[in-house]
Amino acid sequence: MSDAATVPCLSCDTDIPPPTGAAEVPLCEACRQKLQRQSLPPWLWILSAAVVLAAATLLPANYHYLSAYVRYQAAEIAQNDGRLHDAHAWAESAVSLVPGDMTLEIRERMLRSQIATRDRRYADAAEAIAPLVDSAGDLPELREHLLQLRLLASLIDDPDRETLERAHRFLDAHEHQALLRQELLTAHVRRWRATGNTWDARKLLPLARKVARETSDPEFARLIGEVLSEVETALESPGRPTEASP
Amino acid sequence: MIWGWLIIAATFPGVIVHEAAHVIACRLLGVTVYEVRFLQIDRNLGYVLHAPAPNLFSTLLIATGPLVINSLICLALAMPASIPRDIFGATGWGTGLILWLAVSCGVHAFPSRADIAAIWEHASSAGRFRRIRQILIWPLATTLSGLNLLTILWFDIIFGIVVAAFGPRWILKGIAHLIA
Repeated sequence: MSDAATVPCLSCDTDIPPPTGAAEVPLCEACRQKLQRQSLPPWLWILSAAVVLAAATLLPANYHYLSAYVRYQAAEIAQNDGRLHDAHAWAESAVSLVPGDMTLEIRERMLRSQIATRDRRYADAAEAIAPLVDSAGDLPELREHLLQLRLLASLIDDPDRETLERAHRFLDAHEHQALLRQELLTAHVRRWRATGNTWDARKLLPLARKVARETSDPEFARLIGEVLSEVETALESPGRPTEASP
Repeated sequence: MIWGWLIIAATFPGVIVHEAAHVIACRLLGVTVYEVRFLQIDRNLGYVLHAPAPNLFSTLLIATGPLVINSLICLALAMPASIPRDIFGATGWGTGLILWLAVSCGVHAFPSRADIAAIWEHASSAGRFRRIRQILIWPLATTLSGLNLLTILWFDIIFGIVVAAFGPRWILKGIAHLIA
């Protein structure tokens, strides 16, 4: 005969006092504790272990990709901070981890070229990006940049008149190339001071005026001013040298 | 409707992890679990029947357990697979499988309507500070309800893909900031 003040446990049918909460399920203490201790089903443990094992196996196999990505991002951060040598070191290490990846290689080569350009090693800078132009397909900006670097390299060591005229033609078509304009000016100044050739003097005057307007370096602007004054004076003086052959 | 079922069929591991997350939360909080159905072909893809939580905080943790656990598992599984595949083109069945599991977990991270209803029900239950509980819970419940509504626009799928695809990148970019 059942007690009206008790209810059967849902699990084992033992008579127990009715639960206190409205949402509470009637369970005896033993069954409640058994349910609390109940583990997740074995098939779930096995599947979870299999997934963890698969992921754990994948991690060492793909670790070099993750490491290369971190180094690639570190290169970008260092480059944005202006630390080009650090950026190049990171980019180089990324390439060593995943050789043949175009994205990594492009960044490494562009950084190498940037460093060489900053050091006025224009031939090295051109060599760094030449393979990119060959393999990257139709990229007019990159081709223009390579052409500029090759012209800059040719201006460094006593360029002849033909080289200078080639540089002028390029500059006429690409007026935004400030670095080329500066190096062309430098080449003309060197030649004019060595030979007194009026062709160099007449060529360097418009270049100097434009570079003076472009530069934000007051010392450089002062030097250009001195050169301008020197050249203008020499051109106006009665005993100025005639135009010599190149 | 058919698309919904197709997506569920494609991401069913996430449902299992979702229910397991509820069970884990119950176990950690000492709340008795009466019955678990990890996966079923029904409107409710799975369920966990458990004893009432002792307090509102426990109810919150149980209801939002999948949001945390599913998202973490999605991120952890995507870490060795996402970047190699998406950025470096490293294909392989292992990578694809792990990525599929990761996205599946992410897709089913959101609390269900029943989970959100349990939070609101507990906040509204009779007892001390009922109004205060309701006021405090209302922003969270509304946010979770909004997220749940967005699943109509497949926001849950977008969430799973975004966490799997971009979560590892953000973490590794953070590491790059520390070492650069």
